[in-house]
This record gives sequence, C-alpha cells and structure tokens, in this order.
Amino acid sequence: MGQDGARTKQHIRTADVLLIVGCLLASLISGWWLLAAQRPGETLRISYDGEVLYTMELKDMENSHGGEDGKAEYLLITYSDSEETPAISRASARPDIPTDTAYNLLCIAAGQVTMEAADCPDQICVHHKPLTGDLESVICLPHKLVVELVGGTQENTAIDGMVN
Amino acid sequence: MKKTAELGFWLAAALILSYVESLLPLSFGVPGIKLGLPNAVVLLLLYDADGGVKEAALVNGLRIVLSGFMFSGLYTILYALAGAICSLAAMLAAKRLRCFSVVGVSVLGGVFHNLGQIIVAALVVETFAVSLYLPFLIAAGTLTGALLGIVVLELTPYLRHYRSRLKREIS
Repeated sequence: MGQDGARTKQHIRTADVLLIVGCLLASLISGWWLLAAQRPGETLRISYDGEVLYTMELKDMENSHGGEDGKAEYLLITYSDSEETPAISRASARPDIPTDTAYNLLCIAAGQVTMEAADCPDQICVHHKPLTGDLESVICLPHKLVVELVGGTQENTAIDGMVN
Repeated sequence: MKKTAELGFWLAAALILSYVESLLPLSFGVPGIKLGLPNAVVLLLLYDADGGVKEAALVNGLRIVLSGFMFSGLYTILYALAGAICSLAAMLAAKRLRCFSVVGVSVLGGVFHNLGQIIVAALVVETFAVSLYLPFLIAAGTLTGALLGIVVLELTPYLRHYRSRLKREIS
C-alpha cells in the first residue's frame, strides 16, 4: 500500500537536528579543551593487563626531538606462554621481528612514539597515529598492552596536589 | 508469518554489511571509528511493523557472533557485543521518548556504540588513557549515525510498500 507508506513516512524533526548539533558541539568543546590541556609527552609508560611494565624518559634519549635523522630507539615487547609478564628489550637498531612469539614493536624517534609492527589480528594499534603529547595512548587490545605518553614531573605533582 | 525465513534474510543482509564494512579501510588514526552499516538492519527491524526489539537484538547478536568468527576473532566479539548492547539500549530509550525520528535514534545509537566499546576496552586493559579519544568517537558516531539514519528514513516507506504487496500476493 503506497498510500499507507506515504502516510506513515517520517521526517527529520527539530529534536534530531538539535541532537546532532549538540553532539558535534560537545565533541568540539571537549576536544578543544583536552587538546588545550595537552603538554608534550615526557615519559613513555608501557602497561600490560593494568600493571606498569616499563617506563622511559624521552629526554634521556639523544636527539629525541632532533628531526628526521635523530636517533631512533626500538622497544620490542614479546609475549610467551610460560612467562606471566611480557619481556621488553630495548635496541638502537630495528630488531628482527620474532617469528615464534607474539610481539609488539615500538619505535621512538623525534619525540614520537609509533607502533611499528605487531602480530595481533586486527592491527588497530599499528594503524594508530604516532603519539606526540601526553594523554595520548596506543592500546593493543588483543595483547592487553597500553602504551601511553605522560607529562613530566610537573604533571605528577599537579595530580598529587589535587589529591591532597 | 514465515518469521524464521524473514529474520534469516535480515541476518544475511546484516552479515553482508559487516563484510563490506570490514573491507573499507576507514582509519583516522583513532581506533573504533567505522560506518556502522549493519546498524541499518537493526534500525529497520526496530521501526518495522512486524519486527521489534527482540528481532533486532536477535539478528544483531547473531550477526556479531557470526561475523566475529568469520572476519575478526573471538575477542572482538566481546567488544562488539558491548557496543551493540549500549547502542540498542540507547536507541530503545530514544525511540520511547517519541521526540526523535529514526535519524536521532540512529545518532544516539552510533554515539553510544562507540562509548560502550571504548569503556569496555578501558576496563579490560585497566587504563583511563582513552579520554582523548572520546571527542573523536562522539563526533564520528554522530556523523555516521546521522547518515545511516537518513538512509533508513528513506528506505522505510519502500520496505512497507513491498511488504504489504507481498502479503497481498501470498494471501
């Protein structure tokens, strides 16, 4: 019944438009606010299953903010069935990708942290944009790995101050 | 009516949309952003005269489990289900309010799907380092939800028309 279809056809309503505008405004304002609060990341923190595994000060690296030919550092995280926590090895040259274990390979260069490679099925972490500032993180859900950049000591004291 | 056959048809349609979506490399450097094409089937079922909540939940649940095993993996099913439950709850609430059309309902579904998924992800890896994603996920959920809602809005009358013609021909 074509007439029936025409009679009950819905139209976009004012509430819909208000909702769309409201959601976009909320995301713009919260995004602007979060980005304004962002500082350069100073510490790289790697956690597995909620436990902090490894931290690394970016400023300890030579030329960590030094442009294209700045030195790169690699962190290879490997997971084995016998060990409860994954192993992390640090190298200044790109390590060989393991073929027998699950892994994530991080590259730290020019103040950026990039997930270079991983053997997880979805590869979401590998496609993630490089991390540059604090509050940013790459999460590899299949491996329960969280790589985040956090601010320096000022940030920590600010949080402590708020708690006190 | 031949409900099993009809829900089977919708499940097949949703699975194809899942597959199409898995082919589209829609990556903005932020995880969790996708078009949400299968949600069109959920919306059509929610707004269908013969369908309803149970049908929508059944088709979407089966779609997630089947496409999970076919295209991704076991663990993604968990996150997809979390997103789907959040999204369906939000869409039902929005539909009950009666002030939104299918477009507004779809927008809320998209936004809450993304929120549900990121919250479950944050709980699983025990981190709160996901806050920076939220604005992107809300914006993406709004835009994709609005587009999909408009598609469903335009499709519904045709669907009603063909369904009633089919019914007349059978009887």
